[in-house]
Amino acid sequence: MNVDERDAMLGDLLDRAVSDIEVEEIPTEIVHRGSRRRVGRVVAATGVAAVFVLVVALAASQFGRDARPEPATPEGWTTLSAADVPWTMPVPPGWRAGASRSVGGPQNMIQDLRFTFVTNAATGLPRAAPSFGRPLGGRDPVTDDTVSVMVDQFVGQGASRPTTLTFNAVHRIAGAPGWTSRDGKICSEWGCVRVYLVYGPDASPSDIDMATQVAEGVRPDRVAPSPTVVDPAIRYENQDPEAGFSVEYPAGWVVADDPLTDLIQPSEVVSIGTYDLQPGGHSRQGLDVVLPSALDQLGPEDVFITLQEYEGVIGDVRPRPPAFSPETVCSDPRCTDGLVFGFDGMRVWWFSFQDAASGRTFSALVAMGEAAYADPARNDAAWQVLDSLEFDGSGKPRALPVPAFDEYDSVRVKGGFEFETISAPAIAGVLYRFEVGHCGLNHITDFDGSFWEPILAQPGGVDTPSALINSDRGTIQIVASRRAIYTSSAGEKVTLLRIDGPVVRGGCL
Amino acid sequence: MADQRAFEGFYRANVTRVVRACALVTLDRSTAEDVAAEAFTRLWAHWGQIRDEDHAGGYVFKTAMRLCSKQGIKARREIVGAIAERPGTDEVSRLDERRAVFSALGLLSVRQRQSVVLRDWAGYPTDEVASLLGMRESTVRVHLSRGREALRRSLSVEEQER
Repeated sequence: MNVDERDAMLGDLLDRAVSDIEVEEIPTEIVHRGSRRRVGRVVAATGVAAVFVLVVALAASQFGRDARPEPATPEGWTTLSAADVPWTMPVPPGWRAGASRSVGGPQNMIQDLRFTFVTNAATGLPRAAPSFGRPLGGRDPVTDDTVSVMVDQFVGQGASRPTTLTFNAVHRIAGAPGWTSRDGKICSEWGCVRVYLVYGPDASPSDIDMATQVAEGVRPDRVAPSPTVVDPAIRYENQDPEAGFSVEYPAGWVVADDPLTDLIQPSEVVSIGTYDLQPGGHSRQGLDVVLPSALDQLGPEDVFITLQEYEGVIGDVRPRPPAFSPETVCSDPRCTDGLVFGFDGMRVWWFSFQDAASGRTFSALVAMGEAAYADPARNDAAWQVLDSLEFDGSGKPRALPVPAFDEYDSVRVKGGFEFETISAPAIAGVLYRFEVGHCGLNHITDFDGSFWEPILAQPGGVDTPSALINSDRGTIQIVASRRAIYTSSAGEKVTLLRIDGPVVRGGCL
Repeated sequence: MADQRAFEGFYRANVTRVVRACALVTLDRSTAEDVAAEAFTRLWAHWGQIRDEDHAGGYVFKTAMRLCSKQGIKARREIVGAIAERPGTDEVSRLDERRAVFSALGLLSVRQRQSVVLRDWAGYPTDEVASLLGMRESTVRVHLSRGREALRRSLSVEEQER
């Protein structure tokens, strides 16, 4: 049956199961509760608006009649001002501010698109503005109570050049039911910016009002205003859905728009530097591998970082350290000092690591000119770039060969057949795809050079996973030296205990 | 007050359906009623932004499903008998069937349950299910396929055993 057709038989079965449920309740309490929330919204909006008006009036009195109106920055607010975006945004206390630069790719309409954002969301990159043409949240899904203000340069044609922000009508966001977007334009002498106010269906009225203040405080000026300037790290996000990572780096640093090398295994994920990174790669003296030619342009004060990913599993890889530093990636003093490779005029660290959360394996090369190496702030900034790396992949299990049943050389013994493990070694913490044979986990589960035995709290209970006795395609992950978790295709979790040595099993028909 | 009358009309026409859907996902009637009440409360709080009944239906179902998904995970181990039983004189076999259905639903992940309930029980097209659950359509299809397969397998086992 085509999965896009309704299964009427199942539908009827489900319907009969709940047909007794009738709700007669009159919605008095619901209307009462909903009304209270409405009133709360109005009160909050009025209060915030009153504070905003007071603050604007105070700011106007301080800056004088001839001064250009400064952004409203109530006490405790800061101002977002990044080096490469010629506008500023006020930032309420506790809200997150940042900037994003989309790297040009085949799917991108605009090269070097930058936008800044201020959001109440603790994580995730708010990307709901219609001009970005992507569903809300994307790889960094945000919750439905998120409120965000985003600003990007207005690149379209338009005769009007408003100097104060006026919102257009409310838009619904395609692909994000319940989400609302408003946008407006504000201009200065150099150009215009588009301001987006976006909020989810559960956004609180006070947060929406706060965000409205942020939007109205956007100034398309090149000069950062007083009193406080935040120079946030630019949040860079690769748009290739296969890449699945994000990284933050200091303002003024650059990311290579395309891979500098054409390596395939490992493949280059991202390269970041303090200088213009030119593509190209070559094998350097004494090394039988290709390194980016950009290393040749590294100056005394420069930093260069390149990250490469290995497809599949490679052996002897350290886990990602809690914080990257020469001490955490090296095991001998020459490595710690960055002198192992002996490149002139620079310190180089080159190491591999495995990100346990995603199960992905990388190598990173960090190079610094001698002056950068001697500058603690510069030095720290380089390692902090690596610390900021976040990878997708927790839901992307890795492949590992799973032996087929007929690959085993079994020996007939009393009670059945004796089997020896033939499975490949796995890495603890990494999620692997796993195919259960048609006799289920109870029969033979061979993984990481061992057999495993499923344990259940209540064998035979109503929620006994089918994978115990049936074939299934799920995932498996070692969570302790002798324990693993199998997650079935239906989402059930089965704890497995490692068995030492061979197992004796009956036949599997 | 016209607003409130319209909301109350919408509530009366839809609350049972929302509670039933939530019951199929959370596998617990009282939780389902709580979830539905919260969903309708939020709907009323935003009633001024609601365009029409379709919009209201989408809003309340989406909110309910999101709240259900938080509850549904907890409910997995309390399946049998979780729905309040109202046995009548000739209700025994029906109760058995209901138990079987809820037990079978309990073997599904919450996302699978939601996909099957919204598609096969509520009759939403797959693209709308995806929209309501905030997932890609292809993901819904996968959940739907696996959920149906598991349900069919479980229910046929139950029937044979009886």
